[in-house]
Amino acid sequence: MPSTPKAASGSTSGLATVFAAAGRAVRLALGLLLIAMVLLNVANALSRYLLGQAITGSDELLVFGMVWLVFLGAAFVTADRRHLCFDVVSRALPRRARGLLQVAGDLIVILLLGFVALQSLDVVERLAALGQRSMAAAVPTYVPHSAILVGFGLSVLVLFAPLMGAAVKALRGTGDGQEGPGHRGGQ
Amino acid sequence: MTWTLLAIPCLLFVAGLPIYIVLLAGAAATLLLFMSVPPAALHQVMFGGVDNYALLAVPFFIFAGDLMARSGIAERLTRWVLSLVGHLRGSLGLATVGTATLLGAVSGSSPATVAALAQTLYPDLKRSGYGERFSLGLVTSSGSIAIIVPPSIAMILYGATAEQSIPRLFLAGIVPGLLLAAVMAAYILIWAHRQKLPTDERAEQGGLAGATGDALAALFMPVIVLGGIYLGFFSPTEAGGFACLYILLVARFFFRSLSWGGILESATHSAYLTAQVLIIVASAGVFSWILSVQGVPQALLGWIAGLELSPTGFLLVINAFLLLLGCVLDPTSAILVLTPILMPIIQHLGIDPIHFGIVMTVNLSLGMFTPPFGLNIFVSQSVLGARLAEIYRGILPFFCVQLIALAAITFVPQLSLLLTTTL
Repeated sequence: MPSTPKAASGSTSGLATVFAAAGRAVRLALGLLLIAMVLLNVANALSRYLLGQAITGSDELLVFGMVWLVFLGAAFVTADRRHLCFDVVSRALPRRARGLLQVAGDLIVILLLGFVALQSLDVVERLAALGQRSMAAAVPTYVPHSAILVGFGLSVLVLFAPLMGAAVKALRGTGDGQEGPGHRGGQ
Repeated sequence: MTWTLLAIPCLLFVAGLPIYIVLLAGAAATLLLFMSVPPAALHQVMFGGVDNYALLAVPFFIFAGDLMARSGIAERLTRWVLSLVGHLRGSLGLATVGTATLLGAVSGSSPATVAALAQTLYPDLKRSGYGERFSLGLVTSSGSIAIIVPPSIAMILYGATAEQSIPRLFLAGIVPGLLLAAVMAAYILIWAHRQKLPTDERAEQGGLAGATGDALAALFMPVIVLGGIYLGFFSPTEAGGFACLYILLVARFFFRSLSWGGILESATHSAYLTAQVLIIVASAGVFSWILSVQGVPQALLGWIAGLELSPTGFLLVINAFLLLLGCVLDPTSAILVLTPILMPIIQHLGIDPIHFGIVMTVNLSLGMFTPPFGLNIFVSQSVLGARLAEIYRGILPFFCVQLIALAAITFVPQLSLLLTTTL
């Protein structure tokens, strides 16, 4: 995932490269998923007219694909700090105050999404234990439900990593004391 | 109503936190502090908010719009409109409005339309004597038409939230969208005559037949989408899929303006934009659910009923409220949060929900370019590098002109409902 701070050592730098490459691969996978959804959607409509029957479970697969697109995609939007927000007031603040407000905001997001991800884990575990499957496509229901857990879990990670990096820098006394963990992209 | 539903969202909103966090935080705090519901409900309601077949149209139309923006369709449409109106004074201004209307009929994204207009028409507008201020105002305000002309992402979201027919909403948006374009065109014509602006020489080059041939594939796209829906061939969601495939094939094999890599890049970017929009849908679902459980819409309904407002009086008040809200909140968030609250009041007052959907969309579309915070203002600023003060001044006359159209759309419901009842 992007937006991780520059690592101090060679090993962490290598790790950052691996994460960045994995992030690019998942972004690409989301694009491919959208193309696949378009093709399945069109194929379903054509099949209904040409073969007289729709592709079984296609509607469910499309919706589940969209659920993953939304929650996994949201982690990337979080990493890039590009969620829709009203940032006019925060932008008007002095740099230091803006940095502090952003750290406080990040902590709120981490706590909130972490809490929802934990609730999500509970639901996913129960669904997996029940062995429930979707009605038409027979997909295990924990698969689409896991999207919230994974998406919010990743969102927490991408916000937490830079905060930790900044804290470690501050403790070592190597930070400049002004650098925030990033900047909000706004709308 | 518990204070957490108002204080926390307001505080976090002003602090600049993402809107989906603003809504989710207010809902989660209320659920934990004041309700005896298991917190796992947060997951269930969020999932249920996105687990909706009708919403599939959103990623598809976003993808269609992005493909269109990358494939040079905007330039072809502009040349076609110019071939129609190039002999008139103010033809470039008219072409801006006409292109915005056609782009709206292809994608339905207002910021994408403003970005396309800014890149393709703004330099010519400035060069042809329209002046920086007028050109900035025209380009920035024309994007509002794209939200109203179907297909419209805002209307899909309203339809899904208010449980109204999306095809009927699309149909209802046609006349108001054209009305908005017509009042803008009328203002441009009057202004151009006063300024004695020249006609456009490009109208003579190639003529109407050449420009039509060049843009035919692009012009056929709204026919496929709207024709397909209203002739009963496919649902709005399927229309979105066909729109993507159509633009993809036309751009790749007919115009040869997109590579396979460009298509994948467009899909990746569209998936990203989809997440930006629909994550708010998921959070707004939780927020609306908590509002309903807490009885907020009912309490508001009781209060409004106590005021004994007529439907006209209510629409007047709600117009002012939505215009103000539109200045600070994007249409997606505003529709998702307000629709569940306002729906009981609309029904109580006997206002047609389809008409109200159009009124709401037009209001919020004006908010997209209303100072100080309308999103399209920042799109113009970002694409053109223009000064905010100059954009604000340029927008003012177009805002007044569009207010006239809004008043007509609000108080003459037939403008929205005529096609839904006759077709």
